Amino acid sequence: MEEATRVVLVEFPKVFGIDLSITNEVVLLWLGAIVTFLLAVAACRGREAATRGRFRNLFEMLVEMVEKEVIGGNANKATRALTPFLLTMFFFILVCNLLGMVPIPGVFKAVTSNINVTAGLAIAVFALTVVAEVSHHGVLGFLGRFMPAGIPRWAGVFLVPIEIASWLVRPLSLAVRLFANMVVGHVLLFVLIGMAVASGWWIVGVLPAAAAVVMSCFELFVCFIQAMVFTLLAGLYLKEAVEGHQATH
Amino acid sequence: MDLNLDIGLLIWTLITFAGLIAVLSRFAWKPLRRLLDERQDMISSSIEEARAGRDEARKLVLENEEKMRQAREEMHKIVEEGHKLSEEIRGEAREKAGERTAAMIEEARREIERETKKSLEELKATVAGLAVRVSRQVIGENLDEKRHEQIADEFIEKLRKSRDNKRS
Repeated sequence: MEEATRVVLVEFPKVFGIDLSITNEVVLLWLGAIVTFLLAVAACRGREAATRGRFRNLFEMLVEMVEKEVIGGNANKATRALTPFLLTMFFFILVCNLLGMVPIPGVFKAVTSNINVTAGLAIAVFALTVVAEVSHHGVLGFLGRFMPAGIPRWAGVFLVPIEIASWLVRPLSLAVRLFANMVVGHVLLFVLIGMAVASGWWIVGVLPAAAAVVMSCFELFVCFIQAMVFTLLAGLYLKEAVEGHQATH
Repeated sequence: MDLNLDIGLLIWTLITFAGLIAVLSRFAWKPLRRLLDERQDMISSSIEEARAGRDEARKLVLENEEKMRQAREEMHKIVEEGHKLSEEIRGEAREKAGERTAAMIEEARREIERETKKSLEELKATVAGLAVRVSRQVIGENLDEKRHEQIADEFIEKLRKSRDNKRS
């Protein structure tokens, strides 16, 4: 198994020093988006209950799980408006994670094992959090989050920087958590398969091969869990921004 | 593992994700939400219907129980009335039979008395006749009618006394 390296497919001139060329990673990103779109549309076609199959049931189950676990059953209208964002986030990350499990070396890899992709997703969450909080509580309300109520003014000197730091670290932790988990799983699989192939003697090679199979199954579970964790935390931050940070503590 | 900063990929991620949200909101989430809501409504209405059906069934059971209770009460009432009526009929019959018996006894008594009286009259005549015949033969004289009757009366009186003595 060989890690796919960055390959520029279509080169564009740099804009303000930013290289927007189409690389294999961008294509994988688009592939993830296309697969997510096709899966979602396939699951949602047909209105009659008779057309429901296992796939649609599974899809609906995942949608309801995200709505129930992330949004919550008793969420208000403003929080419910975040549902499309969070559902897209969950399925996009899940599909991108699972694309890394396709066993075609050098072509497929999980784009979520690239820190730039996870950072992009975390920035999307961060930006939406700021927009939601400012639109629901105003600029002063947004700034007030850094100075908890009931604290003496002099304590603000210490607390405000800590609050700002903890707020800024959220997208960082989101991005790093997903990136690190996806990388670790794939590295472990890479090592196990490498051992199995490199052993040369099948009796010795069978152990790492078996371990690789078990790890692959576990990795599928991790793909799902990481998508869920990312969405859950994004939902938590967004709910906090909409409903007020006192409400969710 | 790719830790190199690639702002281009980051921007492409944001663009792709934003586009995906826009497309999925239009073609997937909205129709899916509508389907899920429709199904939720259908389930809710089915639950409501089932609940209404259960309430209706419970009501019917209660109504049936009430009807059964009323029918049972009615039946008991009818049976009781039947008993009462039969008692009344029996009482009336007994009373009528008593009255008839008493009347028959009275009639019999009167008949006996009449017959007794008649017998006594006949006896009286016979005794009077016998007394006349005996006196004619014994004393050779004819007694007048008044005397005959007196003798007969005395005889009958004796007979009566002897009967009363025997009874006592």
